[in-house]
Amino acid sequence: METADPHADVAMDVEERAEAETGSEAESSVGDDAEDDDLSVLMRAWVNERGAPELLEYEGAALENLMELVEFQTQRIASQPAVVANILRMDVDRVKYLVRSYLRARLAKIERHTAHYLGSPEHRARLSQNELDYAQGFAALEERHLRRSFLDQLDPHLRRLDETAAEGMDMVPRPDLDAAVFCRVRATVGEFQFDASEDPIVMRRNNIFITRYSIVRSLLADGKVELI
Amino acid sequence: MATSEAQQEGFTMPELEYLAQCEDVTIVPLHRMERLELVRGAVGPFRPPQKTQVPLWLAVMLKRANRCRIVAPAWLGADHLRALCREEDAPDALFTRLPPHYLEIAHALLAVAEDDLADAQAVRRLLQDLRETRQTKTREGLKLLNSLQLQMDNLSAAEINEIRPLFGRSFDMLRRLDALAATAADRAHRGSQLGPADDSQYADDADDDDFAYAR
Repeated sequence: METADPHADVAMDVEERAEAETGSEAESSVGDDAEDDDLSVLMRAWVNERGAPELLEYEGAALENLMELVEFQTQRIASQPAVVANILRMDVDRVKYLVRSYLRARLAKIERHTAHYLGSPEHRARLSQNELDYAQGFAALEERHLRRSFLDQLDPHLRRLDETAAEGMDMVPRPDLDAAVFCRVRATVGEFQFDASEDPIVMRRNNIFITRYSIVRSLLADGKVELI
Repeated sequence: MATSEAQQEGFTMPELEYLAQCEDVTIVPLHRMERLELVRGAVGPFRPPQKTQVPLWLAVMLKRANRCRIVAPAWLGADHLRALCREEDAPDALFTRLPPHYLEIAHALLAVAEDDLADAQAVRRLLQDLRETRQTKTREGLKLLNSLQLQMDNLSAAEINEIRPLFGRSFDMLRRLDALAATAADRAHRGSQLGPADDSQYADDADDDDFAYAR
């Protein structure tokens, strides 16, 4: 036990230093500036997109900038020595992987709730032009398939795909905005009320919560929290 | 399908590794090399024996080609891990502080740079202990889950991903039960206010909502 104690001191020292470092970070209330380059933006957008039940804002600018950079780097590779060329190729491939994963995560949501996203201008605005084309094509295919396989044999008044009855009954499948999400606080929020009937909880940088998506939805849009 | 079933449930192991590989580690280059212009910005220059910071994927690549030595991060030392294990084990202790991708980084370094770690065997064993202690604690945490929020600071990305299916579904189920209980309470309240005159409607409802009324 005695031999272990000096180790503990060293370890505590490391811990304290880590504490001090994060302490000073926590003081700057704005998110980490260093993480606002296009690559970090898209990386966070990908992770958020995978965590969120609904489609988020499209990070078109970051994505386009990155694709331009990828193009530029690809042209540069040919003139580099083998070692460097290998590294640059790996780097470019990693960015492409990220872009693909991001777009796929979005397509998966669009396929699942096509009618929902096409249904209102507010939701449509979140789709890129390519995604909008895809969604419309997908919806048309699905509708044709349903009509051919059985809808056309039904009475005309039973053929609709987007009926909304009274009492909140709705034919269009919509994302569950109350679904559970895990989030990490990026910039200290301060006291935050999860529910009107509960005491507020202080949200500090790096705190992690599991909660309903709808509760942190606006914090996520403001970049105050990220999903994990 | 645009994503696989496993991907709808959270991240896959390779995806977590991908994220971890973007984290910086310190290396000591063994060969001279000019600055590298990567998509995320420049790294280097590489001037042995000057330390420099590179993303983990590059460190792994250089290490495999025998072009660098990786400096083990402070938290991956046997002494530090031993202290963390003790702290983690203390009664009522919260989760100890570790990098969000500590498991993936440790895994990568133990795989390619074992010779750069002091006492790699001990590190491996301690990581395993730490992980198991934390898993036990996480399972205990399930008891605290409610339908509103639960704070779980310092859980790492891989640990969260591991509990995501269970915690996520339990959370959603609790939420549905709460909503059901609230409707039931609301109806009971309304029923008592309206008095016996409205009995017929009350009886009708009981048929399709028997789950809520059974409680």
